[in-house]
Amino acid sequence: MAEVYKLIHPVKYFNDYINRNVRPDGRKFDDQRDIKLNVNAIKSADASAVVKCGNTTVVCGIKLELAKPKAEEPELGFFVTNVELLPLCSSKFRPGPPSDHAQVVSNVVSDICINSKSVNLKELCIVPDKLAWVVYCDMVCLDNDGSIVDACIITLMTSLKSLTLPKVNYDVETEEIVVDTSVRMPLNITGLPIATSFAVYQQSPRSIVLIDPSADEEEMCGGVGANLIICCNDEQFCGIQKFGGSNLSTEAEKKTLAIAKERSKLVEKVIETCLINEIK
Amino acid sequence: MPPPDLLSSQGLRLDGRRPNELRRIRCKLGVFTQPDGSAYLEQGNTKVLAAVYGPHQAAKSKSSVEGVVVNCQYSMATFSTGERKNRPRGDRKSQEMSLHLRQALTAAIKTELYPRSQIDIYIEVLQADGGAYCASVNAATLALVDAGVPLRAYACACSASMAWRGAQPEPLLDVGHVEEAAGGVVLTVASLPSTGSIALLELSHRLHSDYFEMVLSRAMQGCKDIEIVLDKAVREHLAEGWTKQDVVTI
Repeated sequence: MAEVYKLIHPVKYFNDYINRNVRPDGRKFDDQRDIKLNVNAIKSADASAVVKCGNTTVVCGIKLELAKPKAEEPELGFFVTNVELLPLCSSKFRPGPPSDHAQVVSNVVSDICINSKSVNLKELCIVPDKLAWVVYCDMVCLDNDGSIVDACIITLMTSLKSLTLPKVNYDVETEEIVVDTSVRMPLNITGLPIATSFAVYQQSPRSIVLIDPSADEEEMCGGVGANLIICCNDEQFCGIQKFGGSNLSTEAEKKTLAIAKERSKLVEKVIETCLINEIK
Repeated sequence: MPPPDLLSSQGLRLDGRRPNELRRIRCKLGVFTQPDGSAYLEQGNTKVLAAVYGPHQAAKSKSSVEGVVVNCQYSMATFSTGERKNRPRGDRKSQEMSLHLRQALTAAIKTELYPRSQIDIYIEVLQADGGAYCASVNAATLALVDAGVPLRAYACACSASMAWRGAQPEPLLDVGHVEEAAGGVVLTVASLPSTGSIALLELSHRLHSDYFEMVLSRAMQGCKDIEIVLDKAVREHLAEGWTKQDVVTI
């Protein structure tokens, strides 16, 4: 019965819940969904992680390759991220080249990683101007139930933390490359950027900020994706994106910044626990 | 001359299995919320996801009056194989796989029930260790069952190869990546085991016609075994669903 009502009057269905200060899935406006995290699920990837934020599922696989550094930056390795929003994750996506939304998400995630400078590209260089690592991070979204950028960042950081680089011996005269996979050094990650998504719902006269919106809530708030994404890295903000469509008052903004900071601490603890359990 | 090391002297294969042993299959239905039907299947180290959308309105160009149009897309994650795969979909191999999947599944679905409609099946391979096509067909069958699409029978796929033990030929069931790469012959069969009919059959490399029957019957037996496993998984999923479902009063 509730399903039918939701299909016929989606706005009224949503409003009925909001008027009672609760969301359709039972959470309060400030509650986030449970996070489930798992590492090393994919054996063919050099490092992998699977995260489930509520129903949103994202898998990240990291593959390492060797390449020659760019001529104008001979000391730097390469770090390439890519987000794939498959047709299987949501009925809105059709097969073919990536849709606009997919490209936007891919770009947002890539910007956050580069801006946070958590991966030091100098460390990826083995021999300057001759050999460097290329770290390909591919995030595949399996189920899109909102807050996809959050989930992508979490799974990306977790797999980077569990990544180990094998030792490479490069003989300069013979140009011979010998990769020793038995000796592995962990990659040095500075800081841990964590993103938090928000959706802003206009119900005049007030506007309500919802944390960690689900796909239905994102749709209600006018969008493709969350309205506001804040990325926090150890007390510093390394990315804030506000997509157009709804107004955000300044004290609501201050509140969201504080919430984002708190959430990043919580998520950091989750990631640390997961990695400690994995090593055991 | 087939490579001599596919079967050891004790009769064990490269991964320790016996010649007529399937890899371990673990599967789960209804893993995602967005698609109408979804399934996750592991066959040994090969991990495959399947999602089904439909039946829904067909695109004008594709709509057919005679029955439903089945649209398949086979995609491999870039980290699924040993070497990074640059083009997850759209390359020739994926398109060929998509076509074969479509042919196998169209034979299983009762297409005459939904004219002018379309069913979309999306397959994503997370880890490929040989037998990706077979795992995809099995996962797609489970996803179709989860979506409630009427099927004539389960569509199961299995592969078989041939090895020599001394001078005796010994067919091997369910080839893994190592055995495929070793260069032996691989026969892939997608069939509807309860009716005994074959939906798709593919043979790579050369096989003497004297041994063909033997390898084919081994693969068909494999399909029957897989059907038992899939059926059990479907029944368990339904039993779980019914005990948890709320009673709806209108």
